[in-house]
Amino acid sequence: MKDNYKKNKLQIITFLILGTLPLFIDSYYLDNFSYFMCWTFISLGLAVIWGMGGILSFGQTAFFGLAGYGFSVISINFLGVAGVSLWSIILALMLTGVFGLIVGYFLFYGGIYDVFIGIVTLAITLVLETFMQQTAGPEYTIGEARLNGFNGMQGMPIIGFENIPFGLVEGVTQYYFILILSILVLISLYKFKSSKMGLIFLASKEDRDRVSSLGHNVQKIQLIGFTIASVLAGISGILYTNWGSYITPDSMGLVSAALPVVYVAASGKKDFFSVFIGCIFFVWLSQTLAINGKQFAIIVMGLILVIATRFFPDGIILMLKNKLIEKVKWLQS
Amino acid sequence: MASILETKLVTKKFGGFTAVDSVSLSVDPGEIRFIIGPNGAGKSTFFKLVIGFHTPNAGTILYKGQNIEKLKLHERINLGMGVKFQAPSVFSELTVLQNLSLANNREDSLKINDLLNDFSLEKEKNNLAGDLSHGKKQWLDIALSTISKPDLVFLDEPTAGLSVDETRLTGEIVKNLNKQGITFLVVGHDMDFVKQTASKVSLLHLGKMFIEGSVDKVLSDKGVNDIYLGLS
Repeated sequence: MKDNYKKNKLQIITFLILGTLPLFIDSYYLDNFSYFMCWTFISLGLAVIWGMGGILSFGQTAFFGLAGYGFSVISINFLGVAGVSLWSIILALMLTGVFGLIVGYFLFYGGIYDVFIGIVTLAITLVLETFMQQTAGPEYTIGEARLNGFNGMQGMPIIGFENIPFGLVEGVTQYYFILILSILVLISLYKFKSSKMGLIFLASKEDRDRVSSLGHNVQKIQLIGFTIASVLAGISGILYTNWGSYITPDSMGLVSAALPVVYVAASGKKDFFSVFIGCIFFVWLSQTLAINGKQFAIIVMGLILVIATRFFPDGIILMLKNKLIEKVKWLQS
Repeated sequence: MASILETKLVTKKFGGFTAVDSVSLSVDPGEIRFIIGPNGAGKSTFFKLVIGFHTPNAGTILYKGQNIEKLKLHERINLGMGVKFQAPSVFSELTVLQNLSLANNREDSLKINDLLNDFSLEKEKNNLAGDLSHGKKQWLDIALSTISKPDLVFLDEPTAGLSVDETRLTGEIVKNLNKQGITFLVVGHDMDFVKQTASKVSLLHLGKMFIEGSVDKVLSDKGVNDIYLGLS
């Protein structure tokens, strides 16, 4: 316990600060902060599949969109049923997980590796986006829920219980909901990373054949990692949909597929905490730059990716984190 | 005594080239069997056939009497085998201990501390495997192949790049593990290592089994000398 505290001082302090944030900033900025944190799960998923497993996937965005649409369709169809906005999350995540499992099965058991995984997952993402864009007609209705093509879906209920004070996941409740979920996800990911399965997954990045030659089923482990990543992306998709009460095909577009790669690469894909902090920072930066034009923000993000890849291959945020721990002795003791 | 590994007329062709030609071999439990031969003899191809990287064009491969040709590498390993490839392949981003714990798949495995001592890795146990010297990487690699106490271990050139002293120590370690019940099939051509360690030797030449027998018998054969001197 004491060892854990020592090792994780910086993380604990960061989350204590984040826990008191609503006392210091107004609801507008708090909502924005919640939005930034929505994206951390998709990035953490990418850190699992790419940072741990060495598999660069552009499919995270497809899972993000699928979960968002899944959550919307289920909750709209069961409006008025008790707790629909809560159990529809579970169903949407199951749908995303099963889709991840199917895609992953064909990738890994089909012998697709390395750069080809990036190509295939990007293709899946773009196919889904293209499909959703042409669902404007009334024939694209699932029960009561119209998919609405380019305009996307709206009108889904807010997560939570309507008759309980602070029961709805919006405003301050939304902020704490996402923060607590982040902490739980981070703890689970660190546990996964230090488990035997995590070690096998980490090792498979270096040498798949050697891992097999130690008696481990590499494809199965990669499939598990890919599915975990897809569910994490799904969490982001649902939180994003809940935050803005809408989901559009754009959320599965080329730019959306590329941005998590920038967040994770620039943050430090081998360290979950750096990815969490870095993702918040880079989403904020991207949003701030987008005020001056969306294209401008994309160009700067691309530039950040190039700089990080060339000069900070382990990630800018991870480098800063290590420097901070090195300089502040108290964080080491 | 029933063979632990048996190949019957195993053949592997690459296009028109026959790399392994009707090789039959039988390894008994408790042996330290060496497969030797000059470059291009088919040793490594034979090794890859046995562990499942290549599929034979003809012939059968039996492990404890079971046909294993259709099994994947990890399935073969889980029958009780261990493998060490030619180039040291340890996981450089993991520590020595993490490497060993990754390879430790059985409850009756060898004790990690004993292995660390045997392979002189005690001091480096918390270091990243990527920071080890070449020799220690080779040893860690052998330790990975043997920690689960498999019945049969394949070693491909385990002393490549090692100094004379390191090679001698490697031979002692292999013999010590053999005494604990591990059978070895070793591909190599370091004759000092062969003489120090082998209980039986099989020599491949141009993809075929040329001669089999004790170390003295094989190394004193005139044909073997001619092969190594390039006279045949």
